[in-house]
Amino acid sequence: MDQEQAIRRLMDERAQLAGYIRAIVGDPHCAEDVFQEVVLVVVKKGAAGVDDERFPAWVRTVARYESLTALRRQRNHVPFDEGLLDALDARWTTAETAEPSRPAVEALRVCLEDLSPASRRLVAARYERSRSGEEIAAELNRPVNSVYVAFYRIHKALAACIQGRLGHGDSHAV
Amino acid sequence: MPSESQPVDEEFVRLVYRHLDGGADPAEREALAAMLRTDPARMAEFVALTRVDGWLHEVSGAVPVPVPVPVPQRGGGRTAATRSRPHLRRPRRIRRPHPVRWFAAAAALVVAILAVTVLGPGRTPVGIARLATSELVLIERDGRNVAGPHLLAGDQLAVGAQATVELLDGSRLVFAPGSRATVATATRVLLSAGAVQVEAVPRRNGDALTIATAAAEAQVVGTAFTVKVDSASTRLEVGHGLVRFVRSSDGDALEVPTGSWAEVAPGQPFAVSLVGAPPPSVPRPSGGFVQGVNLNGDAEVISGERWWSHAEAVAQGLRLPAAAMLTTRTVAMTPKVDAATARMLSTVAYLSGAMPISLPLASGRYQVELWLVENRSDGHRAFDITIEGERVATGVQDKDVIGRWHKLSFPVEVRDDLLDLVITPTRGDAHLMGFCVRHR
Repeated sequence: MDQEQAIRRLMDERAQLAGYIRAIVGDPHCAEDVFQEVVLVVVKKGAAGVDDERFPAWVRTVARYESLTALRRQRNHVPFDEGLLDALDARWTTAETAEPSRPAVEALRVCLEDLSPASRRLVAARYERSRSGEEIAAELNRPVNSVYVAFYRIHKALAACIQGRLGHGDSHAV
Repeated sequence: MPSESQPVDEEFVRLVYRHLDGGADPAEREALAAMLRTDPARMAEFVALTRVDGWLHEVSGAVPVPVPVPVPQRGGGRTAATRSRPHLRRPRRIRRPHPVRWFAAAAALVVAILAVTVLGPGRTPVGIARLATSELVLIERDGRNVAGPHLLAGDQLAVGAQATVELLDGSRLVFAPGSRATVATATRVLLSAGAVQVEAVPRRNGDALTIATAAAEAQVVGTAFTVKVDSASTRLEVGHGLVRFVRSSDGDALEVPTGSWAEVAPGQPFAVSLVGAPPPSVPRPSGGFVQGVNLNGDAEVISGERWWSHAEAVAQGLRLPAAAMLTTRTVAMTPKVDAATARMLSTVAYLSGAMPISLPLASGRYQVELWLVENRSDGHRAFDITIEGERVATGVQDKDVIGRWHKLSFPVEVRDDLLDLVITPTRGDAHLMGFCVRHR
């Protein structure tokens, strides 16, 4: 795969890759830095010897390394040992195979329309205004745990909706 | 399908979202890791939640969209990193003059001017060398300051401005301002501070002209080179020719060829690098060896380290272009090498165009050593070397005579479990005899 092909594939994979990086590093700013480092690797090196099928696993390998490097550089605690990261990779691969990100994102756009107004406001606060759970809780004068639980329910509902639209299950939203 | 009525594992949910918000402390991260480690169902849920989280970032436009950007090649320092979005572009590091260094040079100059002005000239013997340019140079002999231009064995020089010393055989030593040196003999100069550029007359007999520091010696074989010394290091750069560079602490020696440099410094590897290449990093003193590959050759033990044969490396995932030619060509090595190294240098993979080579290698930081020898004819080839997408050397082997070999060492960070290097010829063929990987 040459550099141009690799960059195109990276664009295809960016949504799932962003989630994968976030799963490891947590912090959204750090995750964005890591994503940029992954882009740099792909731009500089291409993906020589990597075929289309192997690309998602390959780019996750890069992302995993860059994530750990970023955490160590920041002297952050790295709780995910190699064994746990291997388990995360395996689970991620299973999920991605069953439910590829690209059609899932298309389904998500539709599922978002089914959210209640209150859930939409929470989604807008988190993803459009980049507010953390604590900041949203402060804005709404709610306990932070109730905000976390609300996001948990929204994410679960959207996941179910996406599965339903992709033909894997039911399709309700909240 | 969750609903308001279904129970929620609130602690797990709290830890997941604290983590995804970047607000989890080490104890919370460890608690989350423990839950994921011991409960596959929680791991599945964690993956499902973070995937949706990533998709939502994508839908909301929060995921940065990579834009292809040209990658600057590097000839010396690192490339300025390129970013997919202008506001995230990594700032270019600008090297500023070090004020202390400038101050030290100025102070040395003042001291030298005062010394020459205040102290009178001494006797004028016929010496073993002479100052060709003698402004602002303090010569100390037997505890007294004397005037040039003739220099005797043991004379100590404090150089205020650039100064040139000619040896009896016509070799010229150009000292940088602020340098301090002792002319020990007609063929040996001790450099204690500063830098000296040497244009040496080839010597067929007798002692080699030697520039020595406390840490190392550079022994000349008819060449032009520069030795720089400071409190921490001694660095040799060879303009043309060949210089033997000896580390004083253990007697270890390098043959430093044209366009290359080496350095003796605490914590730094003693290795030859191309001028313009980044400084090598420190290989671990023990256990640093990861693997060596003898292209088109048998397994070899080189400096006590077992290298893979070509076949073993292929079995481990070594990849070369299908068009790459594998052959054996034996030449007399310059400088001489041991038998195993000679065998390794005699077997080669080559290609008339760019030759990419890859080997599976766990992501991490390494030192990669490439072994090369000109095996066709004098000045047959020149090529560039790219490792992990970055051009690390240009004009390699340009003007090499047949038999001249190199061990080039480069720091590398592998980020995708695959070491990639490309030899791109600008004249003649691309080729490589072997390579070795070490931890750093």
